[in-house]
Amino acid sequence: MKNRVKLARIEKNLTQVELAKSVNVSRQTIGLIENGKYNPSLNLCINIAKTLGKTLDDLFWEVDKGD
Amino acid sequence: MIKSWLSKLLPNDEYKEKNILYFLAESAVIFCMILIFVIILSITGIFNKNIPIEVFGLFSLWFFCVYIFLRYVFSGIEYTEIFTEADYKKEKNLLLKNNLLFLFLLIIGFTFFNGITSTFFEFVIDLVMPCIFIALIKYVMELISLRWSYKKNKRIE
Repeated sequence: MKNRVKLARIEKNLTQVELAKSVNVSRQTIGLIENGKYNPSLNLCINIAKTLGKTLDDLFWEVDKGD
Repeated sequence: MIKSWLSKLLPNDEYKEKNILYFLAESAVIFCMILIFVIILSITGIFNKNIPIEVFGLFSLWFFCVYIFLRYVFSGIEYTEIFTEADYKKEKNLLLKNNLLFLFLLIIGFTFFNGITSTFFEFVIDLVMPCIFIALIKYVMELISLRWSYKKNKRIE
């Protein structure tokens, strides 16, 4: 699943380790999410969005180019 | 979220938790298929009745555990924080130290339970060699797990 977690994390000046610690997962999990290789649970999505100060739409919603 | 008692034994990290559940489920499915296969063979009379049921049971249990263990080792999910070459080398050295300590404790444990052997040669053959073998297997499996974890982490960094 494509997402904008990496961009939002860099905007917020957080490292993968810091984000991982604040949402209580491993750095590997954050890496996999950022690379679109793991689809996180809704709970984890919400925690990531809250930590990064974004909405779920900002991070995970795919906008079609035609919209 | 509804959690079972099994969740108490699983890691907190949800990716790791999900993967381990998959490994357990895969192994359980294979285990069931083997059992069904043996029951069919047994009914049709093809299954060799000379093989005691205990041996078959132990083999199935061994396979169930080994499958999960190997899937875990080769999935690269054990060392989730090893991303740099320095971390990798540090962890490798730590593994060696831990396994040497494990070997030492294993020899003490074996000696405690089996008693002191009469000759030094017997001590080496009956106690030290099996301990070295166990520790070596453990060390190699941990090294493989570390290597796979490191490679996986490098790909997603």
